[in-house]
Amino acid sequence: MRSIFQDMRYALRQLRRAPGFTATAVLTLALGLGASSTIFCLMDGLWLHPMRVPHPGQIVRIFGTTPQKQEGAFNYTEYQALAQRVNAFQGASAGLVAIGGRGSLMPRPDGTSSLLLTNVVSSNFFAVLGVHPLMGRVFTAQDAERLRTHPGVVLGYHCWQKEFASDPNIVGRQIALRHGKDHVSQVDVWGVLPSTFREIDPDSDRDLWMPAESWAAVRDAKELTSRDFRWFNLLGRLAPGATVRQANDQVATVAGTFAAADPSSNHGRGARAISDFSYRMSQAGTSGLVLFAIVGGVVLLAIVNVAHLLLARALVRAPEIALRLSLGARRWVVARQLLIENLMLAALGLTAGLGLAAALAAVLPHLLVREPAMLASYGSGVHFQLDTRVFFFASLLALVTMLLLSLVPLSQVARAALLPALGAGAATRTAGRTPMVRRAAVWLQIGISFALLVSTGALVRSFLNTRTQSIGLTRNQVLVAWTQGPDAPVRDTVLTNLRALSGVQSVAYGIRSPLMPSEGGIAAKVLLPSHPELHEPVEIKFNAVSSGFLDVTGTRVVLGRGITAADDAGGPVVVLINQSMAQKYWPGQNPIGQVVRLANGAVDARVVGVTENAPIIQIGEIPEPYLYVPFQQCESKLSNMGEIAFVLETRQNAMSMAQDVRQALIHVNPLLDPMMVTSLPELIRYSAGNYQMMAELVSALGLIGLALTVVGLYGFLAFRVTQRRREIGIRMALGASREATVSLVLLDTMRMAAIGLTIGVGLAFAAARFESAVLFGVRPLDALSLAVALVILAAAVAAAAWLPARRAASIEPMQALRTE
Amino acid sequence: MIELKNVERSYKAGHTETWVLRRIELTIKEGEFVTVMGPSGAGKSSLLNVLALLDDGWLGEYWFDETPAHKFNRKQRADLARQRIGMVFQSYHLLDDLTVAENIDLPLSYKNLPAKERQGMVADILDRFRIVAKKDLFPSQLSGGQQQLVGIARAVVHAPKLLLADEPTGNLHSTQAREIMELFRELNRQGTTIVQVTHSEENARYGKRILELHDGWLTRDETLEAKATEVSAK
Repeated sequence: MRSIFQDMRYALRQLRRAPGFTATAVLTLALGLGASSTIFCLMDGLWLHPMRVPHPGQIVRIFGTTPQKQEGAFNYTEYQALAQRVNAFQGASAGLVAIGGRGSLMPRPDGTSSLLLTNVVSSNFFAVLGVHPLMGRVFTAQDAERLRTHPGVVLGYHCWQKEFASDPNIVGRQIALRHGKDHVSQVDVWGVLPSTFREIDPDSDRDLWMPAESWAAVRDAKELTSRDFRWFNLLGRLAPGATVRQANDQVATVAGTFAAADPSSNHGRGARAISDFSYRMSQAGTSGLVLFAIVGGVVLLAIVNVAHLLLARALVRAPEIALRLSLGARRWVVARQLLIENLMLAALGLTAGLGLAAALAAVLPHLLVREPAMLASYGSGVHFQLDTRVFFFASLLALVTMLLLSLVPLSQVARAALLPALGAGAATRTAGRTPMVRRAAVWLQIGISFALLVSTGALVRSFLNTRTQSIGLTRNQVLVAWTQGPDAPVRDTVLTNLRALSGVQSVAYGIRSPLMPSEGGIAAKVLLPSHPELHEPVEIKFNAVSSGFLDVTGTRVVLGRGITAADDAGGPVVVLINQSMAQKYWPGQNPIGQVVRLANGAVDARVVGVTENAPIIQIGEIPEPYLYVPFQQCESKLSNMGEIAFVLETRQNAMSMAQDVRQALIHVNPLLDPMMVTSLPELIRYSAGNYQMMAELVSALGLIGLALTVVGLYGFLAFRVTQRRREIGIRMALGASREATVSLVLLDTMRMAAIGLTIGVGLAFAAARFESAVLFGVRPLDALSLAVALVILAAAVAAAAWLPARRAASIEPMQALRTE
Repeated sequence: MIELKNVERSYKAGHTETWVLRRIELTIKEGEFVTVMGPSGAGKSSLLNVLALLDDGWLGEYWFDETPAHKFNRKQRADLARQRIGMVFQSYHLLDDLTVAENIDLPLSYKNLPAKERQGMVADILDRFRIVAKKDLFPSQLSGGQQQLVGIARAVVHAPKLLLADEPTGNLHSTQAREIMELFRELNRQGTTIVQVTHSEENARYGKRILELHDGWLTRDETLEAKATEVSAK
């Protein structure tokens, strides 16, 4: 133990004596560890962090499946059947809970309302997950009967802060919730949740938690009894000894009985269970994989750089090691000394890296694209924390790094020879060829850097494309106001008032605006008489829109006509389809005049036009069949939708009119106070947020990677020139000009760069296989990205080689050859 | 062939200036075999470096074949040295990762000669030095004497008018040293002017003239025609 402390003291002294080496190694490690820890922090915050409940490893997610969808929801009846019949879960009601998202309106004194995001949950929700309240109490399965007659809610922490000013006496009070235009219910506040429990998913924070029994009492009970209302996600806590596989088999078996009992409604439906961890990993998906691969590349660059430094230092210290061995030191003692030096470097690098990560983590929330500007809140973003998970990740990485770097001193000691290092020959030998391992490390560095630059180029262009390319939506100023759907006469008044606002060019409305953050859009069950082979109705998403809606939102009609004022409740029912639907169901045919049977066969609508494919939920989604139905025909013949989105094309910045539009709506009726006001450009920007985040992160990592490569290559070449000083002296004494000496270094560098580039192209090809899924309007290996990466890397390599080449040319042969 | 007028060389270290060559006046005629002697630190190697045009820091005049080298810039001096001067080193200074033939080709590669002509010149010198069989070997596969043989072959492959040798036998045992010195004598007979630095009296006797340096001063300049013959006779 004493000798280890002695080694540590000696190691510290050695590191202090070589401040340049120590600073470069620590900084390089800090960059690698800091960047990777920050990305881990981001990924953990966005996807990987387990639910903040006890024993999160026991939590599984259960999804309804159809041939088209593997992560579907259940209706409440299905949930109850599963809860009764599956025994792989523990706790109350078989340890299975249901959770579904809805909105509630809380009236304000001025007649307007606050939108409170509400999770409707089974009454056993908190007991199964093990969530305890900050104050008051949470409801349990035993409270189910009482909750039917005395509706109650639990408040989310931030809702308690924001809406009730952290009132310590809130528990036991009643709050009013408005349903529809006239109905207001009073519900009891049971408790307040702690700030640590926000949601079962990390990027959301719900205001109210209401048991299903209370929801049935204060809202439409049909939402819990109808088979068509599939809006509940299910989670289960595994019973002791039960496995995910058993749970999966059981839910699949029970789901099979649904299909058998009611084939018309449940044809092709099934269920599956996966662990919560697997689910989160799948959510990270390709973006996570690409980010992690890129971080891995940067860490590898840092490791290679430090390995270069250690190898260079090993050569400098060879005589010292030879001397120690010749004085009788055992090889393992010398190796231990060198390992302790490495360990100290890793510890310093880890400390600096975590400091860097802490600074970068503070910047992370600014990297995420802010949610669209709204008057009412809608979610509250992700919190990033440098917690113990990040610390363990960084420490593990530092440990792996240190173990890899330990190969350098271990091989150095194992191969150390006494005589050449100590003898006079040491001074007279020329450097000879660089060992293959060092050359290979340089090739790898250049290769990784090239692949990083290609990825950066593709992702940056992808992001720029979301800003510039045609996406099937206008980029003009369009304001979107989402509110309670008024009756037709009131709606007309609203339209008149909105059109009267100065700065408004045109106004239209639909059930929803494109890209509105709703869960998957609205779907209708549709039969197609021209496709008799489709025995069961197919679910196709649709929007009910007024005339002019497509013009305002910028979705072009490419065939036939658009929706006009003549398509009213009294006219023949018509429908527009998008190109994707035309290609899927009528490929190579003119779809105009085809019949689409809506409302479970009750209404036949004739196709009168085809629109281009426009994004429904987000930019970059794979186009799927979509319908546009005239709003008034939908209202009278299909269903009366509760909400409406007014879209206003404005002559000025749309958001500058938000208050005017809000006041115009409230002026007609305070109940029309919009739940959300935003603009189409904001929605487009938010929807492309993932592309922006990836472009920003990968650009930063690409730059770090390039910097590490330049520093590493410079260090390698500078050391190589020092090593070759004698050789260069000989060459110059034999007639080599200074230009020839510069060429000698540059040619050597170019050869290495060429091999590195070959490796880089291979890596870029491998990366392209994954990247195509996260790119918009650009192929991962397009010529421009490759060319730009090549130019940047060539400039960086030239910059790294220039100084060592100049230094080589300035060698004085007389001094280099002096051996006396 | 070579004329040095008032050549001086000093090195500065802080506030101290150390003189290694003082007011050297020297004329070397074409075909001479000159030996430079003196104790360590006397300035022998410094003089050789001045003659080789490897050093730029001296003062005075240096005439090479009526050409004022002292007026040349660094590049012009390097060109002159490349064309007219060959160097042999005590430590051979062969490049480890080049074969014997490649080492010999090295000075030719800096002279913009066609590859075929270079190959011919290398083949000639390998033949002349009787080392054809060793042309593909690396320096580490040769003895010290063989390495120095290659070093000399490399120095004369481009037929320099002046051959400079800095302790050429310093790392060799006596038999090998004698062989190398015989080779120098033969080259001298064929017309190459040779200036060697040595500590060995025996090696000095292969030359025709001895220069002796002490503390940078040229203290002796003696012609040894008869003694050289004596050595030869032995």
